[in-house]
Amino acid sequence: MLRLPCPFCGERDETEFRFRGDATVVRPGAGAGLDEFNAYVYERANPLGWHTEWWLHAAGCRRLLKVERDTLTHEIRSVTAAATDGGH
Amino acid sequence: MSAPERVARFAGVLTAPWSAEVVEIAALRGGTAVLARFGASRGEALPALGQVSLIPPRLILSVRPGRWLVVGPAEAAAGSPAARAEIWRQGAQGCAAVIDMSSAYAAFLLGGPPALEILARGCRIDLHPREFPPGSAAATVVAQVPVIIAALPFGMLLLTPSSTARHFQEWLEATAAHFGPPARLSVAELFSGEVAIPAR
Ligand SMILES: [Zn+2]
Repeated sequence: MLRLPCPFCGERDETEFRFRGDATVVRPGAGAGLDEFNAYVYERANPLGWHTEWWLHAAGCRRLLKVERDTLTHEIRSVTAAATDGGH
Repeated sequence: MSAPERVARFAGVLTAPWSAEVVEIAALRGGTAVLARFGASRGEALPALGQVSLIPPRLILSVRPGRWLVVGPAEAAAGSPAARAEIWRQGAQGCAAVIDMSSAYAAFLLGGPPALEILARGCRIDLHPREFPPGSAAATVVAQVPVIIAALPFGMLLLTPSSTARHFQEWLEATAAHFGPPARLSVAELFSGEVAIPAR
């Protein structure tokens, strides 16, 4: 069981969150080819160690959070709000 | 028998299903200051995130950044929730989305000495007054469904989506049954302020 320190709600159980995948993926430009878009949509690294991820606090503040997590030890290094301007 | 006497005699839980009005105020970008000024001018100051303020007969709570829920008894005489939403909508001057959410939530009030133990059987956050004193509010999961909890002087306000309300009420009643027969009070009695339920 992970415990994630939400910057808005405090530390909460993993069950309140929804994992939203790799936060390092960048959308290619509009002119990029099929292969590049295929990689953007489907191909993901599966690192052993530090990883930056999106987590949605679905049962709490409902904000999207950017989490640095070690996939081996489950250590959490940082949790920040995806939007910093209070936008929704 | 007066309300305080009924509470004093009460050995079990107190649940009052509450037909509440709920209006959500969601600040748009940079709209928080305008909303705060408007709220203060009405004597309804907007609480900080994770807090609830009691402005009888209503309360205002915030469990999401830049968003507030105004919760109060349904009062036909005082205008519809849509009318109340309209007051905030105009006061916000385009800086907030104001929505009547009365049909989206069901409200329960739970008090009495066993209240915390009942909630602890389905809730993973620490509701002990040391961590969650009166005036605190949080959105979390209770009995596997989303619940907003607000600690009030006379007990806990619980808001759950209408779609999970029947399950949640059954869970509350089944869990509370272990603590003896419930005493039921009206929300008006609770809000009258003469009922002080001792904290556990
Ligand atoms: Zn949160």
